[in-house]
Amino acid sequence: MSGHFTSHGFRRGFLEGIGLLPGMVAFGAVFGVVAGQIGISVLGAATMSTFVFAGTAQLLALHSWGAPDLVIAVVVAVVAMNARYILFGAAIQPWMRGVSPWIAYSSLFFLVDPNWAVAMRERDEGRHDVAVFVGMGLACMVGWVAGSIVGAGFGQLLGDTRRLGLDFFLPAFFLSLACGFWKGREDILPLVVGGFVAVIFERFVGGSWHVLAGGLAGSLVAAFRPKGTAAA
Amino acid sequence: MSIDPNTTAGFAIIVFAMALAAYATRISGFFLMRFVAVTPRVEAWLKALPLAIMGAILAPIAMHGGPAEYAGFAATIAVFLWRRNDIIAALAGMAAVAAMRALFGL
Repeated sequence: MSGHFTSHGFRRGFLEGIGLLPGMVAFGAVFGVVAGQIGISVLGAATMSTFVFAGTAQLLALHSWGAPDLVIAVVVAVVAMNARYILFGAAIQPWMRGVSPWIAYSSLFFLVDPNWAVAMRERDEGRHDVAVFVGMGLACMVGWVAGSIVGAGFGQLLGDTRRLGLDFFLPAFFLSLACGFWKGREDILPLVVGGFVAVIFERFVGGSWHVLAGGLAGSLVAAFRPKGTAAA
Repeated sequence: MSIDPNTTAGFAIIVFAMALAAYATRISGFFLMRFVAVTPRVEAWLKALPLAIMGAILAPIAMHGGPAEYAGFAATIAVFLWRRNDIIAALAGMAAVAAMRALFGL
């Protein structure tokens, strides 16, 4: 079955994305608070969140806000933090085959972690409605921008978001997705190699290159394991 | 060239540069895959990618984590196995972390 784009799929993706709103708003608020503290207006924070739409990348960019070569510093921050999306895009390409380049490239503007993972789940279930991906991405964007506005506008009133465990939402969401992807013993190899290489990179390289390095290492080792042990 | 992000024009240039960089990371892997034939090897690679990436995201967090984070991971797995729902499991993990931090000041 090849890729297609339906309004029903868009609705399904958007509705599933609504479940992610609390986490997205909270994460957006964390960004908004930091942005407000360094003098970015509510409108400025909302604009950045809409067009850049990358949480960790935006936070790292704010971190280098005083740099003399600010354009270079923010571009490096965004590429380092978003490097994993290069892999995400590669993995999603066969799933999107069949939709027009115009739809594919507009849809990819909404690529974030949760809707990519959901696209991979849809792929494994044999479904190819690209609109599910866009609907969920749009829901994430609504939450992310709303959170940015709240954070930049009312940051001081929120108190310590860590106390509420909000920083743990995204890791927990990834863990439950990983549980869903788990098929059997052959999955240990990519998971463990990916994790091991990531820990090494995180310690000695920094940025968020560890996700790219671990993801590449774990998946390549799994793809090139000797025949016979590789189960489909 | 030095840009002042506190002016409207300077801020717009910064956001534009960031937006371009972010979009470039989103489309480049997709674009490059158009030139790759999906052989069984490539398929095996793409199949293994999600779990490798999740391992790469989670392992450093686990390394830095303490009892609160481990309780959060355990609660997430337990609730996922029980309910088979990604978001409910993640919320349970978050609640477990918040409870551990509140009760034990971790």
